[in-house]
Amino acid sequence: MGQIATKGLYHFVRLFTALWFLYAGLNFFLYPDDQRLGLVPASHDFTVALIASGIFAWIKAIEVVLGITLLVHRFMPLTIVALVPINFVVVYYNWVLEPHRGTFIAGGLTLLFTAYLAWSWRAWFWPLLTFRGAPQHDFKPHFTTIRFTGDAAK
Amino acid sequence: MTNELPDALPGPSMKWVYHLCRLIFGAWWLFSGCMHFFWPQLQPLGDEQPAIDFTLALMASGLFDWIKVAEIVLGLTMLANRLMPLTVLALVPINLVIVYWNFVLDEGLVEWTFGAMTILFNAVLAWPWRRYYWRLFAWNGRPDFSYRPGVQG
Repeated sequence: MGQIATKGLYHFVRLFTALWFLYAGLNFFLYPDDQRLGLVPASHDFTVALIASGIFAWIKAIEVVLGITLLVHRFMPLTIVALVPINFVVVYYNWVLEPHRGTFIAGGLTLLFTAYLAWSWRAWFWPLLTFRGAPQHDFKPHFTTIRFTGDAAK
Repeated sequence: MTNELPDALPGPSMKWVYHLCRLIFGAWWLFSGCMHFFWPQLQPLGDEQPAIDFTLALMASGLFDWIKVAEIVLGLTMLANRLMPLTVLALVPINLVIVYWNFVLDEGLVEWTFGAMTILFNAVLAWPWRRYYWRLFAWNGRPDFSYRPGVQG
């Protein structure tokens, strides 16, 4: 696949995820009665407990923010890092708590799209995998001196 | 008077504060993770009903087991002082839920203390590795559309 095709695929994945997150986030606040609670007891009880704890509202607010940053294509490295824990739970919900064909597909797409977005920004993430790093035990900010090469730096 | 920031505080240096926090937090996480599997009867569910309901729902979903496995792994990496940039990043979402649990769901002096200590430990552990995180705040970057891994040191 050429670079034009991969660029197109990247923007399709980004916009699809953005709209998905924006819809899922806004839907909770604008039409709370439409909130999907789950079709089986395991997923239903989990969703109801999250809503009752109040943490669901925070997750939905984050989904709205991430939907906007994905849509405007800004703060992408931070956005992808924030997507990971939310999407981990989304995939778990779809594959373990409510397994059927539709949710298998939704979980698979969530995993694939997150992985593809992260792959496209991999230059920003490699330093995080440092096994033995060099911590800075002072008060200077040390704005990064790690230099990036390759296509991302062109 | 110079505008230069000091390299270290007078008294115990940041290095030793960092290592103390790392070892305490690492041991705390390792114990908390192992406790769920070896001594499940010790698992605190909370004192307030919202906290109990939330913990029981997490357990019933099976997600609690995964969180506890993550706590064991992160406890080990903290104790070994390895993979620290990734470890500190992985601590954040789990700690957000722990802080929420301690400050909102299960209020009380002990819970507030644990919540505050969680924030403090996370901040002390993140600060020395800040160099690895600044790039994540890039407002406008360029994705890499090639197939080359572009491994960065």
